[in-house]
Amino acid sequence: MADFSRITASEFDLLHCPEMSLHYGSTPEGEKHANPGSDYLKALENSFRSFEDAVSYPANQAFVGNIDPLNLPERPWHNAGASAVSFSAGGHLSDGSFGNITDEAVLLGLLKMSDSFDLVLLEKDFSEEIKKILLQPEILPEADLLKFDKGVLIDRINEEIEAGALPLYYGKKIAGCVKAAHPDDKNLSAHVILENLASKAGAVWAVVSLLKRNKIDPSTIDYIIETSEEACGDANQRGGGNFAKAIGELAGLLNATGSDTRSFCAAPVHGLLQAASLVKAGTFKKVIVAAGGTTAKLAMNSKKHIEKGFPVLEDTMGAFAVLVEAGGSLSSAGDIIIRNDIAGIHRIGSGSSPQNVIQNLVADPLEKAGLTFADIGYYAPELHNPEVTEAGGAGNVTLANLKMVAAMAVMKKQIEKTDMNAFIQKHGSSGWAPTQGHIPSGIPALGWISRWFKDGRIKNAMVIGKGSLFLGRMTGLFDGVSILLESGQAKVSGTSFPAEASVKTQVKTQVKSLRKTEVRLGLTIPGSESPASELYRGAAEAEELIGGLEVVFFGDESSNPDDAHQEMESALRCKDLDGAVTFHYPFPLGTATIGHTLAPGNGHNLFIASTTGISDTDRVNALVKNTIAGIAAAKAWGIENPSVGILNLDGARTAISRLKALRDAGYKFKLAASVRGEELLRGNDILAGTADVIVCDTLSGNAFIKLVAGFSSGGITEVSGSGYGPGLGGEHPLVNIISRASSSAVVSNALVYSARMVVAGVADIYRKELIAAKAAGLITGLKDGSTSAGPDRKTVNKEIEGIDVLKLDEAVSLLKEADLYCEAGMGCTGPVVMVAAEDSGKAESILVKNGFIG
Amino acid sequence: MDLENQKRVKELAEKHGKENIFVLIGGADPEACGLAVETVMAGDPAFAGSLTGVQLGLSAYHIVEPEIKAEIDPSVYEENIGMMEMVLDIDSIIEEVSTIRKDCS
Repeated sequence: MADFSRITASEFDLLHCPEMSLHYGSTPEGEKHANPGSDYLKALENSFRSFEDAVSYPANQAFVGNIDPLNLPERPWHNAGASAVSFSAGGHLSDGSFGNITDEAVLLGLLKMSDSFDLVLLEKDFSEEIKKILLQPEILPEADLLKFDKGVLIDRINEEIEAGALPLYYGKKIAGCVKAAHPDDKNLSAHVILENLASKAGAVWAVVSLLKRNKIDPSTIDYIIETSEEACGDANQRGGGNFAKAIGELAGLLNATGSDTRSFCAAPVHGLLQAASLVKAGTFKKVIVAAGGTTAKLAMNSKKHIEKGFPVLEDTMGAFAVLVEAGGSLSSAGDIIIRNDIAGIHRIGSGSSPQNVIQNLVADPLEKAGLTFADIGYYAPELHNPEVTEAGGAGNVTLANLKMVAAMAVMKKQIEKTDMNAFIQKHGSSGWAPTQGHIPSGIPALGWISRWFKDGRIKNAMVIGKGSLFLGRMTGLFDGVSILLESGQAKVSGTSFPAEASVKTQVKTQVKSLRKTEVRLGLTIPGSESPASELYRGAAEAEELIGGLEVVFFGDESSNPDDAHQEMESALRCKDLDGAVTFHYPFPLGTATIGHTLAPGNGHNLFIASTTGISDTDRVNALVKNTIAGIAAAKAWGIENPSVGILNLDGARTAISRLKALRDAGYKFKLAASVRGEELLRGNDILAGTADVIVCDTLSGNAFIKLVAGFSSGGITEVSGSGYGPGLGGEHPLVNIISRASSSAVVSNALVYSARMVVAGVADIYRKELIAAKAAGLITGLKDGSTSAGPDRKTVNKEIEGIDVLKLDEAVSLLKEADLYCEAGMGCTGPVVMVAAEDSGKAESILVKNGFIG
Repeated sequence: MDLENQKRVKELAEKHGKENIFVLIGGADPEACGLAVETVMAGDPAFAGSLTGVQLGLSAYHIVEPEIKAEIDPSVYEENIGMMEMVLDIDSIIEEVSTIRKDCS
């Protein structure tokens, strides 16, 4: 089972900066150029909130972890009155559960600290005052603040401003300035430097606060990904970067390197996905994803806010830092498992209609995970504070996004249209984040998601980031990315497995949407005992039955079967095919194949587990694993809670008592009773169809399928059933085996069966069943997907037959010792060891010499 | 209406002739949609863009209006607009856009 990355800590900070908003927000700045002295500008100056008011603002309290977004008071929030908040560091900081709010003095101090080229000058007295503020225990008591001793006289600052530097204000007075870094290069102008330094300063603060709050040693961090929307560079490399490394340098991440990720507001979720993948790949152990805020978006909607009698609500910059580390299986309460394998991506070819976007970002990953819309505990789309956006004329962004998710659930027939509002209430919340582009993009929910995981309120969540790429004029495209997050606790206890009911609903939906999905299945032609026309006919029937299914033929009547098989194998390896139907396949040890037919007695769907392959070298273990594989196939077919019966074969009684023990320990399944009402099934139960899944050993299962399939043709041709079924377990593609004597009906059925298994993601369902069974104490004699380690992996295309099944493992070890790569498997005639063609001579002679084959 | 869009609409109408231009709106906010219709029919009411004082009199509808929906293959409509039909305040959009269209014609 894959060990996913996890989020173990997150930090969300706000930097209150009314002066920065008044002077350097792009809306006020634009107005100053276009209409200096306008009524708006006059009103703006007196429309800012005090630090205390900004701190007690409910949306800001939600951001730093003090007011649960699910319990935010009724709006309006801006005149909600002061709530109980506390201040420290001489009134310059207010701390929350996972973030803090600081005043403008701290921001100016961080700005100076972030300046490596003496571009920020602070007035002498102010510089000393700031130094004292920063050195307080709650802020940066151990920081090296030597540069604050270099404060300059106000006359020098005025001269610099005269020469083009931008003034920095504190309490309505000039407290310093930011100089251009080059006289002519507009990429290094005072304005660009200020914007970049402010973003860097915010990110540094968030990273330092994250490390401090969670007592993390900075030297353990390997990598930092910065995800803001700024660009740093000069005339010859305007967006050269790398903010990440600059932030890491100041935050003391001495062993880390880093890079920047950009995608407008979607960048933080991209960053999270990259961090999770880098950690899971083993490239790094600890990665921080971080971003500071943006000065440009300060006071962005202030014209509209002032018109409506609001204060300027966009008076704070946001910043965040999230720690991603390895060891999902070791997670503790509150850890967030990042399912990087269940990511929604807005594809380049998808088109930008809202419907396509939600399909890509929400419906597709849910379908891949085998989850319904209602299975997700909490959706975190753009979490913009609605009080800001509604008054600004952009509506309630979070609600609009949640409505789209709910509407897509209606379209997928998973909820009723009349239930949309209830769905939104249950699976979402109001937004609360400052409208700083990339800051609200799903990420601010991470602190709360961790809390809700810890409380057991939800077990999973989805963060959704969206970005308006078209604003950069390089493309008309939109962007978006989403990730499924799971509770660390739930994972450990196995409760993250989706409810059976939801699997059923999902399968229905997926089969219905197959027309759009396009499933490509391979079908080998040579080697058939029936005329090739039967195979073509079966393929055409299957394609007609399931729109969107494409069958690709390998070879023809006159081709060499081995060549066709190898071509098919190569297409499967390259993922040109989603699966294949063929006459034989050397499944590795650990695989059970699940056959499907209709029970002659009642016409019900009947799954025979298994029909070929060896799921375990121990007979009883094999029966137990066959049971689980059978359940997975039946569930993938759409049977909600399949009933399972064990055929009365050697070892069946022990197998049934082990299965009951698993059931008692929490692995839920339904045990069927025979026609006579007994626990073990007899041969007549196969005919009667008394269970959905009938468990047997490989050889008897194979015989039963053959008997049922060939009965009405007198045993000459197989005319009913869907073949011997796909192999489950082990690392191999979905391959369904059919008899060489198959009629078009069986070919068609087998293709339809395989397509349904592909779409439902049977391998994933089986994996989840195994996890649940293992959590209940399943023991197996094999590692899942057992392949031999040691020599380098090769393509194995030569089978060596005649080895006793009980000696297979031993034979594999022997060849491995001789440095020959090999895999154990089940061939047409029984167990085989598979080796590369060039190794086959040597391997055979070793096996002969040691008495494994004659 | 966005100033850049006003410029583009004006240029297209000049190039191809007003009678050959049809404006289809897809906005979410009823008021903004109404303003867009007004702008391309009677001129920019905000007196800011290139359509200020220019009465193009173009034909303008919102994608969710019944007249437009009736023209589109239902399955294509469902595939592209079905979800947003549930999200948008369709009644208000239709009311606003059709009233303004009536007032401007």
